[in-house]
Amino acid sequence: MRWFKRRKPSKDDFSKGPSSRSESLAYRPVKSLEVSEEKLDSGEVVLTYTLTVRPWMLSLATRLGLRSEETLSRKLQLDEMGSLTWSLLDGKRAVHDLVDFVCRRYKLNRREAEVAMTGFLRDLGKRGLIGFRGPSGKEGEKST
Amino acid sequence: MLESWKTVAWNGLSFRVPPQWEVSSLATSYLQLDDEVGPVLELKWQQIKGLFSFKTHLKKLSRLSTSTPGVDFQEIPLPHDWQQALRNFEVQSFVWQSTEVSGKGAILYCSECQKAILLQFYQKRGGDDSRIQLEILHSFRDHSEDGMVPWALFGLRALMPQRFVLVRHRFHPGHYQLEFQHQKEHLHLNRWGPADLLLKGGDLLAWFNKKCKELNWCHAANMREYDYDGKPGLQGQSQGSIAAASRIWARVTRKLPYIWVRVWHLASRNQILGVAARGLKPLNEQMLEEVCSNYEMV
Repeated sequence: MRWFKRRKPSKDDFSKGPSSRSESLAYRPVKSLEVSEEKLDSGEVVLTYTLTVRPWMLSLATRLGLRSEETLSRKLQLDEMGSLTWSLLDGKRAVHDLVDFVCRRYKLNRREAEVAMTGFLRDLGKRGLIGFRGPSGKEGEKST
Repeated sequence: MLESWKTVAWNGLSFRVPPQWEVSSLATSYLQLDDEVGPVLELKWQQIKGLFSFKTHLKKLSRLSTSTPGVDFQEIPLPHDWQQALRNFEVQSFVWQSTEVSGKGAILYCSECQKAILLQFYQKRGGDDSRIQLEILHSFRDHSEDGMVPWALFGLRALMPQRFVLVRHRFHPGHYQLEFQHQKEHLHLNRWGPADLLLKGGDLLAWFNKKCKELNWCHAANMREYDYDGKPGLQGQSQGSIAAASRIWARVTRKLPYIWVRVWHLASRNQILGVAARGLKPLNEQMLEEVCSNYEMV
């Protein structure tokens, strides 16, 4: 028997999220303020971000003397396409605008660009580097 | 309206769909297409050996729908406008309905190629796609007359001899690959992109030498620069094998596989295309030339 049952999200929660592909693509990615970026000579971008650590891990790290800026931060070097996408994240462009841009810039098939872009944004979201603003000026940011 | 429609051709089936419809789910004998909102068309097909029974398959569908709560399944006479479009098939049509979505479809059987196809259109509440559905059915083909099978998906277009069967496929961002087989002969179609990123700081040969690990038997071909119809390319062929097991087997049987590879840079589409073949018998170069000439990205 499970002692702690996972609470199912109510229907209201679902209605807040996107209900279709077109609605998901209308969300606008926003850079996290916690991320610092550095542009290399090659044009590629290196992102530095702080790891989100559970409080007990943090206290353990402090006791063991492992808590420092270096151990709690990570660096992520983006490739050319990733760096270009990162530079376009201004909180105004929706995901479909980014897909359109990449399609035109690299002459990609739209579906291929969509899969690549959503995968990339999902990965950034999982690391806490971006959040998503709802379409048509809806308030409330949503992180992936 | 129809000029902007695109062709979808996959494993023997081909039809035209509106430009905003995209393949969202794919298997060797299965296709699902979505529009901006959700699923719109689903197709499943199978080669039939022996007699085909509509009754059995409709019963299966009916049983499946009754086991799903809230779904009402019904056999219906073939709509009049569908009759003309599907005149080359034996057809049984059906409809189903749930609270939010309904479906209209048919089981088709082609006695010429012994293929049975389950086709269904999803309909949202309040929407009427009957004209689109009819146009799709008019363009629907389940076999080719000239022995060449069309393939058209995600911008890739190819014509393959009918004897080659699809054994593997992958459509990853950056790399598409289709692998076909006929007896001991293998044929690969590859597409890499975007080419300007891949070739950055190097030429096609340098890129290929790095890339050929993915196509483990391709580096046996002695690749040389080759001008393919005005496009920069590489071509190579050899008789030999790299994989240890194949090498031992080749020694035992005294048969070394024949390998033929061609890669070319399609600058107009910013992509790199490749055709590779491997077989125990000498490869038919004329056929390979034909495959290359019909292989393109749109």
